Amino acid sequence: MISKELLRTGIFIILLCLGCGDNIIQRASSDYFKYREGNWWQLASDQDTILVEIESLDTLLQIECLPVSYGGYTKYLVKNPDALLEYAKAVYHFSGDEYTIIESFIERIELPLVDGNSWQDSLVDSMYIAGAWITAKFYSAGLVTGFENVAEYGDVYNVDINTIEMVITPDTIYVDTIDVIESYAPGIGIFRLENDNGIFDLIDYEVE
Amino acid sequence: MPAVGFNDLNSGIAFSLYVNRHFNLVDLSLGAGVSYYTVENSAYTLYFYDMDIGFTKNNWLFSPAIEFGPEYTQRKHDTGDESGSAFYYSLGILVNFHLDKMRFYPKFYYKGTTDGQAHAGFIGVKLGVGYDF
Repeated sequence: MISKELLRTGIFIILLCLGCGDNIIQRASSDYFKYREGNWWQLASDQDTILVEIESLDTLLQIECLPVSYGGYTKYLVKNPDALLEYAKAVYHFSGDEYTIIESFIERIELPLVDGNSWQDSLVDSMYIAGAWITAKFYSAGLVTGFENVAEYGDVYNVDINTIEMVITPDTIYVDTIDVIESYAPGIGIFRLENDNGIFDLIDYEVE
Repeated sequence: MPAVGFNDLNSGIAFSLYVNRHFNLVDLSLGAGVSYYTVENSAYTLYFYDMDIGFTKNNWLFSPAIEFGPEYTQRKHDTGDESGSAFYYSLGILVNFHLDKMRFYPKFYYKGTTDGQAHAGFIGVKLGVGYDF
Protein backbone atom coordinates (compact mmCIF):
# COMPACT_ATOMS: atom_id res chain seq x y z
CA MET A 1 0.00 0.00 0.00
CA ILE A 2 1.30 3.38 -0.98
CA SER A 3 1.65 5.81 1.87
CA LYS A 4 0.09 9.25 1.56
CA GLU A 5 3.46 10.90 1.73
CA LEU A 6 4.79 8.83 -1.14
CA LEU A 7 1.66 9.53 -3.15
CA ARG A 8 2.07 13.27 -2.64
CA THR A 9 5.71 13.13 -3.64
CA GLY A 10 4.79 11.14 -6.74
CA ILE A 11 2.12 13.62 -7.78
CA PHE A 12 4.57 16.48 -7.30
CA ILE A 13 7.22 14.79 -9.45
CA ILE A 14 4.69 14.00 -12.20
CA LEU A 15 3.55 17.60 -12.22
CA LEU A 16 7.13 18.84 -12.51
CA CYS A 17 7.86 16.44 -15.36
CA LEU A 18 4.71 17.43 -17.21
CA GLY A 19 5.70 21.05 -16.86
CA CYS A 20 9.06 20.92 -18.58
CA GLY A 21 8.16 19.50 -21.96
CA ASP A 22 9.31 22.16 -24.39
CA ASN A 23 10.21 25.82 -24.80
CA ILE A 24 6.77 27.29 -25.36
CA ILE A 25 7.27 29.99 -22.71
CA GLN A 26 10.57 31.01 -24.24
CA ARG A 27 8.94 31.38 -27.64
CA ALA A 28 5.96 33.26 -26.20
CA SER A 29 7.94 35.66 -24.04
CA SER A 30 11.13 36.44 -25.96
CA ASP A 31 12.01 39.36 -28.17
CA TYR A 32 13.21 37.91 -31.48
CA PHE A 33 13.95 41.30 -33.03
CA LYS A 34 16.53 43.19 -31.00
CA TYR A 35 16.37 46.25 -33.20
CA ARG A 36 18.10 48.94 -31.20
CA GLU A 37 20.58 51.49 -32.40
CA GLY A 38 24.13 50.15 -32.25
CA ASN A 39 23.22 46.47 -32.22
CA TRP A 40 25.07 44.34 -34.77
CA TRP A 41 25.34 40.77 -35.95
CA GLN A 42 28.15 39.29 -38.01
CA LEU A 43 27.22 36.35 -40.19
CA ALA A 44 29.47 34.22 -42.36
CA SER A 45 29.06 31.81 -45.24
CA ASP A 46 31.74 29.54 -46.71
CA GLN A 47 33.04 32.38 -48.85
CA ASP A 48 31.90 35.68 -47.42
CA THR A 49 30.82 37.57 -44.33
CA ILE A 50 28.05 40.09 -43.85
CA LEU A 51 27.56 42.63 -41.09
CA VAL A 52 23.99 43.44 -40.13
CA GLU A 53 23.98 46.67 -38.16
CA ILE A 54 21.36 49.02 -36.74
CA GLU A 55 22.26 52.59 -37.60
CA SER A 56 21.05 55.87 -36.12
CA LEU A 57 17.31 56.48 -36.12
CA ASP A 58 15.92 58.17 -39.19
CA THR A 59 12.53 59.61 -40.11
CA LEU A 60 10.77 58.72 -43.34
CA LEU A 61 7.22 59.78 -44.21
CA GLN A 62 7.05 61.26 -40.69
CA ILE A 63 7.62 57.82 -39.17
CA GLU A 64 10.65 56.99 -37.09
CA CYS A 65 12.58 54.18 -38.78
CA LEU A 66 15.48 51.96 -37.92
CA PRO A 67 18.00 51.85 -40.75
CA VAL A 68 19.30 48.28 -40.87
CA SER A 69 22.45 47.86 -42.92
CA TYR A 70 22.88 44.46 -44.54
CA GLY A 71 26.53 44.66 -45.55
CA GLY A 72 26.13 48.25 -46.71
CA TYR A 73 22.68 47.85 -48.26
CA THR A 74 20.26 49.68 -45.99
CA LYS A 75 16.66 48.74 -45.32
CA TYR A 76 14.47 51.07 -43.32
CA LEU A 77 12.35 49.12 -40.85
CA VAL A 78 9.62 50.02 -38.41
CA LYS A 79 8.87 47.63 -35.57
CA ASN A 80 5.21 47.75 -34.56
CA PRO A 81 3.56 45.40 -32.07
CA ASP A 82 1.83 43.56 -34.92
CA ALA A 83 4.39 43.71 -37.71
CA LEU A 84 7.84 44.60 -38.89
CA LEU A 85 7.36 47.08 -41.73
CA GLU A 86 9.81 47.91 -44.49
CA TYR A 87 10.08 51.19 -46.37
CA ALA A 88 9.30 50.70 -50.05
CA LYS A 89 9.88 53.19 -52.83
CA ALA A 90 9.37 52.70 -56.56
CA VAL A 91 10.69 55.33 -58.95
CA TYR A 92 10.53 55.77 -62.71
CA HIS A 93 13.19 57.66 -64.63
CA PHE A 94 12.16 59.56 -67.73
CA SER A 95 14.00 62.29 -69.64
CA GLY A 96 16.42 62.86 -66.80
CA ASP A 97 13.66 63.26 -64.21
CA GLU A 98 12.81 60.91 -61.36
CA TYR A 99 9.13 60.20 -60.64
CA THR A 100 8.17 58.53 -57.38
CA ILE A 101 5.22 56.24 -58.05
CA ILE A 102 5.08 54.47 -54.68
CA GLU A 103 6.51 55.53 -51.35
CA SER A 104 5.12 53.77 -48.32
CA PHE A 105 5.69 50.94 -45.83
CA ILE A 106 4.97 47.30 -46.57
CA GLU A 107 4.63 44.45 -44.09
CA ARG A 108 7.79 42.37 -43.99
CA ILE A 109 7.16 40.07 -41.01
CA GLU A 110 3.96 39.69 -39.03
CA LEU A 111 4.46 39.65 -35.26
CA PRO A 112 4.57 37.80 -32.95
CA LEU A 113 6.20 34.84 -34.67
CA VAL A 114 4.10 31.68 -34.50
CA ASP A 115 4.84 28.47 -36.38
CA GLY A 116 2.77 28.21 -39.56
CA ASN A 117 1.62 31.81 -39.68
CA SER A 118 1.62 33.36 -43.14
CA TRP A 119 0.90 36.86 -44.39
CA GLN A 120 0.95 38.98 -47.48
CA ASP A 121 0.83 42.65 -48.27
CA SER A 122 0.87 44.75 -51.42
CA LEU A 123 1.23 48.31 -52.64
CA VAL A 124 -0.02 49.36 -56.06
CA ASP A 125 -0.15 52.79 -57.63
CA SER A 126 0.02 54.45 -61.05
CA MET A 127 1.16 57.78 -62.39
CA TYR A 128 0.50 59.46 -65.74
CA ILE A 129 3.90 60.42 -67.12
CA ALA A 130 4.53 61.88 -70.59
CA GLY A 131 1.30 60.52 -72.06
CA ALA A 132 1.49 57.05 -70.57
CA TRP A 133 0.36 55.31 -67.40
CA ILE A 134 3.24 53.92 -65.39
CA THR A 135 2.26 51.40 -62.71
CA ALA A 136 4.36 50.21 -59.80
CA LYS A 137 3.61 47.22 -57.59
CA PHE A 138 5.16 45.82 -54.46
CA TYR A 139 4.23 42.37 -53.18
CA SER A 140 5.44 40.89 -49.94
CA ALA A 141 4.60 37.42 -48.66
CA GLY A 142 5.97 35.53 -45.71
CA LEU A 143 5.63 32.26 -43.86
CA VAL A 144 7.00 31.06 -40.53
CA THR A 145 8.15 27.64 -41.69
CA GLY A 146 8.96 26.38 -38.22
CA PHE A 147 11.40 26.52 -35.37
CA GLU A 148 14.37 24.45 -34.34
CA ASN A 149 16.15 24.13 -31.05
CA VAL A 150 19.74 25.33 -31.27
CA ALA A 151 21.70 24.42 -28.17
CA GLU A 152 23.33 27.79 -27.50
CA TYR A 153 20.45 29.98 -28.57
CA GLY A 154 17.15 28.24 -27.80
CA ASP A 155 14.22 27.92 -30.20
CA VAL A 156 15.10 29.63 -33.48
CA TYR A 157 12.30 30.59 -35.88
CA ASN A 158 12.74 30.24 -39.66
CA VAL A 159 10.90 32.79 -41.79
CA ASP A 160 10.54 32.69 -45.59
CA ILE A 161 10.17 36.15 -47.11
CA ASN A 162 9.37 36.76 -50.74
CA THR A 163 9.22 40.29 -52.16
CA ILE A 164 8.45 41.36 -55.72
CA GLU A 165 8.85 44.86 -57.10
CA MET A 166 7.37 45.63 -60.52
CA VAL A 167 7.35 48.75 -62.66
CA ILE A 168 5.06 48.44 -65.66
CA THR A 169 5.36 50.81 -68.62
CA PRO A 170 3.39 50.54 -71.88
CA ASP A 171 6.17 48.55 -73.53
CA THR A 172 8.24 47.08 -70.69
CA ILE A 173 7.81 45.33 -67.34
CA TYR A 174 10.69 45.56 -64.86
CA VAL A 175 10.57 42.87 -62.19
CA ASP A 176 12.84 42.43 -59.19
CA THR A 177 12.23 39.36 -57.05
CA ILE A 178 13.96 38.67 -53.76
CA ASP A 179 13.61 35.42 -51.83
CA VAL A 180 15.27 35.12 -48.45
CA ILE A 181 15.05 32.79 -45.50
CA GLU A 182 15.82 34.52 -42.23
CA SER A 183 16.19 32.81 -38.86
CA TYR A 184 15.74 34.60 -35.56
CA ALA A 185 16.95 33.55 -32.12
CA PRO A 186 15.27 34.60 -28.85
CA GLY A 187 16.87 37.60 -27.19
CA ILE A 188 19.47 37.84 -29.95
CA GLY A 189 17.90 38.60 -33.31
CA ILE A 190 19.02 37.41 -36.71
CA PHE A 191 20.73 34.05 -36.53
CA ARG A 192 20.87 32.85 -40.12
CA LEU A 193 20.35 34.50 -43.50
CA GLU A 194 19.87 32.54 -46.69
CA ASN A 195 19.75 34.42 -50.02
CA ASP A 196 21.14 34.20 -53.55
CA ASN A 197 24.66 34.70 -52.20
CA GLY A 198 24.59 31.69 -49.90
CA ILE A 199 23.78 30.72 -46.34
CA PHE A 200 25.16 33.00 -43.67
CA ASP A 201 25.35 31.84 -40.05
CA LEU A 202 25.83 33.98 -36.98
CA ILE A 203 29.42 34.09 -35.77
CA ASP A 204 29.38 37.14 -33.49
CA TYR A 205 26.93 39.72 -32.25
CA GLU A 206 26.34 42.54 -29.81
CA VAL A 207 22.83 43.39 -28.64
CA GLU A 208 21.45 45.46 -25.81
CA MET B 1 -3.65 40.53 -15.21
CA PRO B 2 -0.64 42.59 -16.30
CA ALA B 3 2.14 40.51 -17.84
CA VAL B 4 5.68 40.44 -16.50
CA GLY B 5 8.51 39.38 -18.82
CA PHE B 6 6.33 38.70 -21.85
CA ASN B 7 7.43 40.68 -24.86
CA ASP B 8 4.52 42.67 -26.34
CA LEU B 9 1.94 41.03 -24.05
CA ASN B 10 -0.29 43.43 -22.20
CA SER B 11 -2.98 41.89 -20.03
CA GLY B 12 -5.60 39.19 -19.87
CA ILE B 13 -8.27 37.48 -17.80
CA ALA B 14 -8.25 34.28 -15.75
CA PHE B 15 -10.94 31.93 -14.48
CA SER B 16 -10.48 29.00 -12.07
CA LEU B 17 -12.55 26.39 -10.26
CA TYR B 18 -11.42 24.77 -7.02
CA VAL B 19 -12.42 21.91 -4.74
CA ASN B 20 -11.21 22.63 -1.22
CA ARG B 21 -10.68 20.29 1.73
CA HIS B 22 -9.99 21.54 5.24
CA PHE B 23 -7.24 19.83 7.25
CA ASN B 24 -5.87 20.75 10.66
CA LEU B 25 -2.90 22.68 9.39
CA VAL B 26 -3.95 23.89 5.97
CA ASP B 27 -6.73 23.95 3.42
CA LEU B 28 -5.80 21.85 0.44
CA SER B 29 -7.37 22.60 -2.92
CA LEU B 30 -7.39 21.00 -6.33
CA GLY B 31 -8.16 23.33 -9.16
CA ALA B 32 -8.34 23.86 -12.88
CA GLY B 33 -8.23 27.14 -14.72
CA VAL B 34 -7.92 28.98 -17.97
CA SER B 35 -6.40 32.34 -18.71
CA TYR B 36 -6.42 34.31 -21.93
CA TYR B 37 -4.20 37.13 -23.18
CA THR B 38 -4.02 39.37 -26.20
CA VAL B 39 -1.53 41.79 -27.66
CA GLU B 40 -2.13 44.85 -29.81
CA ASN B 41 -2.30 42.52 -32.79
CA SER B 42 -5.84 41.20 -32.32
CA ALA B 43 -5.09 38.21 -34.55
CA TYR B 44 -2.78 36.80 -31.87
CA THR B 45 -4.06 34.96 -28.80
CA LEU B 46 -2.37 33.17 -25.96
CA TYR B 47 -4.18 30.66 -23.74
CA PHE B 48 -3.03 28.89 -20.60
CA TYR B 49 -4.92 25.86 -19.29
CA ASP B 50 -3.74 24.73 -15.89
CA MET B 51 -4.34 22.17 -13.13
CA ASP B 52 -3.03 22.83 -9.70
CA ILE B 53 -2.63 21.86 -6.08
CA GLY B 54 -3.09 24.77 -3.71
CA PHE B 55 -2.51 25.51 -0.06
CA THR B 56 -4.32 28.20 1.91
CA LYS B 57 -5.51 28.83 5.45
CA ASN B 58 -9.13 29.77 5.01
CA ASN B 59 -9.97 30.40 8.66
CA TRP B 60 -7.47 33.24 8.75
CA LEU B 61 -8.52 36.70 7.61
CA PHE B 62 -5.31 37.12 5.63
CA SER B 63 -4.10 33.84 4.24
CA PRO B 64 -1.07 33.05 2.15
CA ALA B 65 -1.96 31.20 -1.03
CA ILE B 66 0.40 28.83 -2.80
CA GLU B 67 -0.44 26.92 -5.97
CA PHE B 68 1.54 24.93 -8.48
CA GLY B 69 0.92 22.49 -11.27
CA PRO B 70 1.22 21.69 -14.94
CA GLU B 71 0.08 24.09 -17.59
CA TYR B 72 -0.86 23.61 -21.23
CA THR B 73 -0.09 26.65 -23.37
CA GLN B 74 -1.55 27.46 -26.75
CA ARG B 75 -0.53 30.32 -29.09
CA LYS B 76 -2.48 31.22 -32.20
CA HIS B 77 -1.79 33.76 -34.88
CA ASP B 78 -3.95 33.65 -38.00
CA THR B 79 -2.85 30.47 -39.77
CA GLY B 80 -0.21 29.66 -37.17
CA ASP B 81 -0.70 27.54 -34.10
CA GLU B 82 1.67 26.29 -31.40
CA SER B 83 1.17 24.47 -28.15
CA GLY B 84 3.28 23.07 -25.36
CA SER B 85 3.46 22.37 -21.68
CA ALA B 86 4.97 24.33 -18.85
CA PHE B 87 5.09 24.37 -15.07
CA TYR B 88 3.44 27.14 -13.17
CA TYR B 89 3.38 28.38 -9.62
CA SER B 90 1.43 31.08 -7.89
CA LEU B 91 2.25 32.98 -4.73
CA GLY B 92 -0.22 35.37 -3.23
CA ILE B 93 -2.40 36.47 -0.40
CA LEU B 94 -6.14 36.25 -0.05
CA VAL B 95 -8.52 38.00 2.30
CA ASN B 96 -11.27 35.73 3.66
CA PHE B 97 -14.73 37.11 4.45
CA HIS B 98 -17.16 34.51 5.86
CA LEU B 99 -20.92 34.81 5.66
CA ASP B 100 -22.69 31.68 6.96
CA LYS B 101 -21.48 28.95 4.64
CA MET B 102 -20.33 31.37 2.01
CA ARG B 103 -16.79 32.66 1.73
CA PHE B 104 -15.74 35.64 -0.37
CA TYR B 105 -12.07 36.16 -0.96
CA PRO B 106 -10.25 38.66 -3.11
CA LYS B 107 -6.87 37.23 -4.00
CA PHE B 108 -3.75 39.13 -4.98
CA TYR B 109 -1.05 37.02 -6.52
CA TYR B 110 1.90 36.57 -8.80
CA LYS B 111 1.74 33.69 -11.25
CA GLY B 112 5.04 32.53 -12.68
CA THR B 113 5.35 30.11 -15.56
CA THR B 114 8.43 28.36 -16.86
CA ASP B 115 9.41 25.77 -19.43
CA GLY B 116 12.86 25.26 -18.00
CA GLN B 117 14.36 27.67 -20.56
CA ALA B 118 12.56 30.91 -19.84
CA HIS B 119 10.45 32.36 -17.09
CA ALA B 120 7.66 34.92 -17.26
CA GLY B 121 4.58 35.70 -15.28
CA PHE B 122 1.60 37.81 -14.44
CA ILE B 123 0.44 39.94 -11.56
CA GLY B 124 -3.21 39.25 -10.93
CA VAL B 125 -6.28 39.86 -8.85
CA LYS B 126 -9.02 37.27 -8.54
CA LEU B 127 -12.37 37.57 -6.87
CA GLY B 128 -13.32 34.24 -5.29
CA VAL B 129 -16.57 32.81 -3.98
CA GLY B 130 -16.65 29.61 -1.91
CA TYR B 131 -19.37 27.49 -0.34
CA ASP B 132 -18.96 24.98 2.51
CA PHE B 133 -20.88 21.78 1.87
